[in-house]
Amino acid sequence: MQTQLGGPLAPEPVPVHFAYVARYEYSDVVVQNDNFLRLSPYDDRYQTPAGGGSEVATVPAGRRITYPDRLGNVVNRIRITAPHRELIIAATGRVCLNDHAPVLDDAPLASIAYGLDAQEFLTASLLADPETVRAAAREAVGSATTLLETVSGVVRWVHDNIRYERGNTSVNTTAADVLQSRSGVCQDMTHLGLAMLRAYGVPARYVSGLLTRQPGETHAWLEFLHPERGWLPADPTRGIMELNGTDYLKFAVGRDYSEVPPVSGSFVSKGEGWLNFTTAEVFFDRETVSVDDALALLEGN
Amino acid sequence: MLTDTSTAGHPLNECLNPDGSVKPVYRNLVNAIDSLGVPELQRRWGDANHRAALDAFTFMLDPREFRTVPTDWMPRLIPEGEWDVISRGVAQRLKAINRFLLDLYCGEQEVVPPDVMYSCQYFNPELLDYRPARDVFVHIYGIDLVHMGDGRYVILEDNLRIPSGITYQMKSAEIGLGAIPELAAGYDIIPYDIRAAYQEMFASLCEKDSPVCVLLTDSKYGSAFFEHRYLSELFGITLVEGSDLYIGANGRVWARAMGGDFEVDLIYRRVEDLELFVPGLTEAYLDHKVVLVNAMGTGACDDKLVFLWVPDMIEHYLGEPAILDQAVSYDLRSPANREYVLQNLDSLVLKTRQGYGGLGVFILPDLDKGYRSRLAQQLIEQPQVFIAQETLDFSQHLVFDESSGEFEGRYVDLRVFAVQNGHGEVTVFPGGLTRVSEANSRVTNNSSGGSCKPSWVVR
Repeated sequence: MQTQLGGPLAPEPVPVHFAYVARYEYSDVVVQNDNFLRLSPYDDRYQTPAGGGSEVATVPAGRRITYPDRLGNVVNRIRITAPHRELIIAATGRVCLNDHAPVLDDAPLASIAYGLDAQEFLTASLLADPETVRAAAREAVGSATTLLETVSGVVRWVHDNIRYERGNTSVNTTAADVLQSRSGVCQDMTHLGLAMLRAYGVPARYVSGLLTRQPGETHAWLEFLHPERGWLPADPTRGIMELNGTDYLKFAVGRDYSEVPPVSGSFVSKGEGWLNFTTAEVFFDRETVSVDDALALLEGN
Repeated sequence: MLTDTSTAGHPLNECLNPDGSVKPVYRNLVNAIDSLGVPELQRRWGDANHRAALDAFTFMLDPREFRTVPTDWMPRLIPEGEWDVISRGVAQRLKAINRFLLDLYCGEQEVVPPDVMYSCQYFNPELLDYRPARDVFVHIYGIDLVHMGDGRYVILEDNLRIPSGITYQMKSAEIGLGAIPELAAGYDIIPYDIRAAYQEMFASLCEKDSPVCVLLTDSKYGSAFFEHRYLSELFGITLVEGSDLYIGANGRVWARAMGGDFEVDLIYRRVEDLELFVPGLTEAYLDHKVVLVNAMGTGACDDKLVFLWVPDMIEHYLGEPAILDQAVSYDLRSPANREYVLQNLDSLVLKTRQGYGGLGVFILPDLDKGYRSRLAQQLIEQPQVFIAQETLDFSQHLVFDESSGEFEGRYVDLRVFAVQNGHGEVTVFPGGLTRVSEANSRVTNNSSGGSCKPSWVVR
């Protein structure tokens, strides 16, 4: 299913529908719940959000405002003041996935001069600090001197050296932590990849989204900046940089996870809160999708 | 003796010229101080402190410790001409911010970028399309200024959520004049009437002559409880805690009382998370069953990043240039600004967007190198959390050290208070509250340990 460098393009954009749902529980009544959702399809050349069906909703309902953030992510902010002990967040959408354009032109890293706008993707972010991974980055990149070889080296190294393992890391785990423990999930591997690329002067950013053929949960991969082609994807978790564009559905980009979690926010309560259940589904054969389809994913869970 | 002080040399002293001579407006005051003499001054200072203690004039940082507001009783004098500019500038700014808030919630504001505006902690989507009583969001406004010399005042920040301190303006002047009346000789101090202005504000918002108003305090253990108690008595309104209020069957707000519960028209609230204190209050408010002072959602303009666009609000909504300058500030979302700030850390102030009460303010030139580089790292990692401001070399004033009997120079700022009533009329209370830094610091905030000084506008 992978498009090789210089290989064929998918002939037609592939329309898909997706549904996402998450349920949060609280140990006491919540009187105010204010959340930022980054669960709408990102608009770029690899995917085109298609009208009709893109929707976010909460139970209980709240007031919403939708706005673009500085990196072009669609943010839905929903604030709820109906008292509740359980919060359900549902998102659905329709998007046309375009296969990735082939990347032919490599360039020596030393010859690339990135502009000021790229600086923030070269420096440390909260969870991906290049200073902390320099030695490992040298090992990963080896003798590579070009942009694509560097990215490829990093992506493969992370895939080969970091064990995919759930439960040992959290949303606060840094690239340095992952390097230390040599294990983590997609988010952790992405952070390590970001930090290593930044250490070599390759601007890199975090992508949050879904794997269309393995939905279930959100996925993370990265994008690196190509001086002519713009942001190109690579997936350290799967160890590949020649992604099949129709495999990936992108929600949001940021310097790392901390800037673009699918759900972030705050609540006011005397009690504690936790994520009780979340899942996502992608449909290749549907004409429509609604919030009810997302809520239906909760059945039996 | 005051003029002997060794600290007279600061180039920007409110009272003294760089050569140590007394500025004209301060001559009567300095003569009065000199003729009282140090032992008498020490006695009067003690008397004023005693009066403050008897009035429980406190700012309690720790509820277990009775602590009066540290006050230097030597007043700051602001000539009427300087005050006139401040007063017009504050009123202008208040009006522009109010217009902006109305547009933000009920219109299509285009002044502040959406990413900045809607990510504000205190922006409240529930208030979209909701018009507060008489279209007033900002009823009480506190603005922090510093004096750059020659009558030029520069704004450091706006306080719009629950501005506090107006009592300190009033009480410090009242206690100081009571204990040391000689200091006022030769001055015509411009008076003001906080009680009348607030009562007119309450009545005009409720559109009735005697609305039932309450002051909602966070707690009697809160640092500003003196102010809450004092103002409720001054205005003749009931002081309540959250548990004293509830939403009745008729959807209105009720207050519990010994003689029978009563319906409330207006809540002068001194808490931010209203729903936590009074469950159901948001709904009652959205149903126009109660007036809130300040209006819900006003805090969106308290954000330190939104501050950067206030001059644009003034131009956009009022069609005039801003009367008062504000400190040059940097939006760190811009790569060029980030670069500039990282190159010039030793001359800047960093502030967290949501900070208040002096918390989250970092005056970088005053910090050691290690601390500065940790902050630089944080700024690289999370630029969206901060704004940067140029450091200002603002004015100092003299404070009397009771034990040594000497005067010392300290940095001072000026917090000015204004109210806007239901007719859109703005009253700016002459003088404001002068806050004094601790020695060797430029942070003047009371939450950060600073003290205050009476401030008179004089003819």
